[in-house]
Amino acid sequence: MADAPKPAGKSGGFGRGRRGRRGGRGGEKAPEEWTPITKLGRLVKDNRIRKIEEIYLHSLPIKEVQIIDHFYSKDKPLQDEVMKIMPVQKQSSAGQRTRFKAFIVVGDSDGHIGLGVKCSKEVATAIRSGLILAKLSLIPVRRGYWGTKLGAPHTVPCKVTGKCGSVRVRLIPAPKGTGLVGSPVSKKLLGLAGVNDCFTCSIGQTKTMGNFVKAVFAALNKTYGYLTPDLWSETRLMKDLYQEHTDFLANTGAKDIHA
Amino acid sequence: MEEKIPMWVGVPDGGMTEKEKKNPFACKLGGRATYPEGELGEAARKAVEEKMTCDICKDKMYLLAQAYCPVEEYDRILYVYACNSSHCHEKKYYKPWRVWRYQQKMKDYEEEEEEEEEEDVEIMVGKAEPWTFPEIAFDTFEEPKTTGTEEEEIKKAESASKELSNEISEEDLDSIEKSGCANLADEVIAKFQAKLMKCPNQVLRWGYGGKPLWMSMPPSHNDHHTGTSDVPESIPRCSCGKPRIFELQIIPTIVYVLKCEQHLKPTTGVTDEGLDFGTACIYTCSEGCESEGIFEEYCHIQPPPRK
Repeated sequence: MADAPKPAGKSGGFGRGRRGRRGGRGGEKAPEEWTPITKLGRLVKDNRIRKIEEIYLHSLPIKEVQIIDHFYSKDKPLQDEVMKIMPVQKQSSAGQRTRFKAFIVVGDSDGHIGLGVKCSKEVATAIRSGLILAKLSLIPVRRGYWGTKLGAPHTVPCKVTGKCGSVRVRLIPAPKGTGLVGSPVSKKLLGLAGVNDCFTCSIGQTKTMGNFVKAVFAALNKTYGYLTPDLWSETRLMKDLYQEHTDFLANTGAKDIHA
Repeated sequence: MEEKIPMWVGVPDGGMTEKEKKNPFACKLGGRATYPEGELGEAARKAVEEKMTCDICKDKMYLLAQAYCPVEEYDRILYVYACNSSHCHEKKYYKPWRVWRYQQKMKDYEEEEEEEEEEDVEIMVGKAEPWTFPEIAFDTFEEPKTTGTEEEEIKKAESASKELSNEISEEDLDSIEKSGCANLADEVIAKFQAKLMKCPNQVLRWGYGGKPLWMSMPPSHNDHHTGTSDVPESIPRCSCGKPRIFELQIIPTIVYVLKCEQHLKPTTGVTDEGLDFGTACIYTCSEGCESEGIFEEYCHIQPPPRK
């Protein structure tokens, strides 16, 4: 059989063209197929992790977008919203260089929100990359009650404040039915996070969209960092997520699945 | 300006046929290493088997890939070995790897008669023997340029952007420019993943004299933006005295394809999770050490990303 064609430059080759009949299939593999590159990715792809909460519980860094996509589907979509596209300019010797900064927010309106900020020469690239960054930064949002613990949680569990630049944003629990009280930007963000009722109050140059959005995001981030009295009871130490998986394999016996 | 060396990718392609199993020039992942016939091959086998133990745990290493990469008039086979124990990789990620290059002058092979066109049957991957990974053949082709889905995404993004009005906010310029980008390490891994999306199931990348696709910060990262530094300073020269250049790169998708954690060493403890790495970049002699035989080459490892 003929050798593989030699590439330009050093005349060498890679592999023998032995799979002539399948060679044509080379570039046509299904584009949706994802092969994970991190350990966490491998666990997710094998469906060893049922909920995204398990990843949050162990504070594992998520490096692959497909991990997030895995937990969302058509019936439980992850909505994204382009908050703002802002051209930013930098003076250079050859005039001004304009790039576009995109602020993308993703959320499932049920306790998860992500914010991505990306600057790029083209708007489309900025949006695309911003979306990926937003998904990677997905965080859980804790919701609580204003008063009686009746029904599902509907508001922030306590007063939290986030800051970015000069902007301080304070989220305050509100009774059921209040709705979201705040600027359109904060309403959008809180809505995607799954908070139904909230009072907001802000200080500083809130016109700076970037800082304002980041401040709200920081406030929502803090909801799970706040130690409330109901969390006072001691928690037992848990096994590492990777450890659990290894033990599972060891117990069931590492069988060769290909046989 | 040097011309760009086209990269070739290797994608897994099912099990090996009986004929291929005996052919030392067949490209495969896992399995046992096969050497060409003759005393050169036998000498190679002995040399490799002597040194096939992991420096850290002193156990046998697993064959990760055997790739046939002819260059000019030499037939070359690269054998990549790694220890399948997460403990060794955690301790010193750059140690439990070994790469061998077998080289012999190209002989004239008789033209094999064309095999009859068999149906395109998926050959099942066989069971892995102890101390080896399952044997999987891989197919090689030049890296594709763009994917179909990219076009869709570009259209979607463009339509989304048209709905918004652009406003220039002068006050924001400085703070925004700084806070915009994620940190550099995340950018590198994002580029890595973007490149992989062109061919999502690739496991190997080959380009003799080309550039590796870094997964974390490239070694001398102050050259990162200019892209000039693709040769880490600490690459040792070949035994013949010539410098080494990049040839082959192994992507961590190979761990998923080979299911490394299911083929742990028989002597392993319970807490072992198998092989895990960021990327492995193999550097080989730039001149090819004009001789036949087996040579050890250098493998530059990047550990898996940890925040």
